[in-house]
Amino acid sequence: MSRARDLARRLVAWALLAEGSTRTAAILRLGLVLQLWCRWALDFTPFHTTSPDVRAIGASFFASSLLFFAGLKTRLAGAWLSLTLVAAYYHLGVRLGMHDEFSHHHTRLLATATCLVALAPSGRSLSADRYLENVRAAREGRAPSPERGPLWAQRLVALQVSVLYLFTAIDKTQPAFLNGTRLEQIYLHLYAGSDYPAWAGFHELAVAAAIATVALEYALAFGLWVPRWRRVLAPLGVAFHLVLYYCVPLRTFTASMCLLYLAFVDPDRVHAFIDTLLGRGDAPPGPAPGARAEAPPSP
Amino acid sequence: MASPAAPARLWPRALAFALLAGWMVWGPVWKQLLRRRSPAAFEWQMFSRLGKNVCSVRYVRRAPGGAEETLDRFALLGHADRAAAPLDVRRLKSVDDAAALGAKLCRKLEGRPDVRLYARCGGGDGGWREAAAGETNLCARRPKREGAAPKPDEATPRPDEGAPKPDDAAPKHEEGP
Repeated sequence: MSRARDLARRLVAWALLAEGSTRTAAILRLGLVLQLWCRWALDFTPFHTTSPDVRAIGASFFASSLLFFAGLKTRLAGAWLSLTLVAAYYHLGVRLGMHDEFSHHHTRLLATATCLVALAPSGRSLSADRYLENVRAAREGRAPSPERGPLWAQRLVALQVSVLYLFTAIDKTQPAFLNGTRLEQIYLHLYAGSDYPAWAGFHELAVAAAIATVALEYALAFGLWVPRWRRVLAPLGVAFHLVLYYCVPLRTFTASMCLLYLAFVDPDRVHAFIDTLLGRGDAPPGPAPGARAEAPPSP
Repeated sequence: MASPAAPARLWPRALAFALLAGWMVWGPVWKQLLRRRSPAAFEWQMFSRLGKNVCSVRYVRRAPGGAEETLDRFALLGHADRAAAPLDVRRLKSVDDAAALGAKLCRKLEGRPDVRLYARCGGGDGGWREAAAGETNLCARRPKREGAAPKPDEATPRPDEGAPKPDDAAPKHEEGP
């Protein structure tokens, strides 16, 4: 009983009370907005569409994403952008049937991750809000507020990545994928046309690639939470997504997945890494008075 | 050590965390495992659509004794190689398309050729489906008009008859998997 209570206490500490540097959330914010622009900016330009719905949501998209990217009134901009993405997904993608533009699973991942990052205090780092706070603090002769905040939204981003890997792996755990057929069909569709390759080992390669893909996805679903495994699995995952990007049409998905891996990394290490990169050599930000330090990454 | 303000903030945060985490897991369970539909549920199915409409084909010329010689459809249709051929010759989406192309090959051959088609096409379950196994001489009946598929022998049921064509629902521009 006390063990269960201890586990529950650790889970709450990990999920809800943990605090850390906000630079990870800021990097996620910047990266996701850039990807949103890559993905949707053209679709939302007024010369690209005659639909008043797309134009209205597009205007909201450009204004809110620009504010969120700059980190000006970041909380407000994040909420505004999240509502815009939900409207784009459901109204344009689901209701009006513009699936490929607005509700494809690649854009769904981008929208979901952006909504989750909007819940994090990402404006405390690498933002116009941060710049204004530093200027104010200098003027008032005080130290600027620390670049720290709660990590619960970052935990949810990491959970989203795990859920994605787990369910795409479950979906592939079926004979048609594991026996190599699906990969053969994709190869024919993209490269060979209707001519099944005559070279030896094609089928065996497809089977091996299919099994390796599913095994890696299961491993990534759980292993990214364990720091010791993450050191091996994260580079493997990045390599996997880069190979996929090179071989099949994916657009922003590879960059999204690689970026979201950051959510698994201790944010204070990310903070220290950026300091080292900038040659500042500052220690990672100390905990705010009374705040709980970063808990272990898994309950 | 928890922040002094934490207890007051904890409940809304806990509620939001539980709702969002629950929604993330519920979506794919609802759609993928329970096969139910809901616009609020997100599924994560990749490599599930791309390439399902492709057929793997082979055309052969059958001699009266039964010996078969593989035909090069690109050369017969006057293309230098596969890369020089148009997409609808390189990549065939259904056995009907393949039979129609076979009829064109018949017109390029001299005499009274016996051209057979072997084809496997993507099936609804994602596997290969045997679509043609050389049952029909594609040159036995001339199509009524250019490009129309010849009718198969009356006694030979078409293997893909009534089968869904997964690519009908495919996106206009390719993206996947």
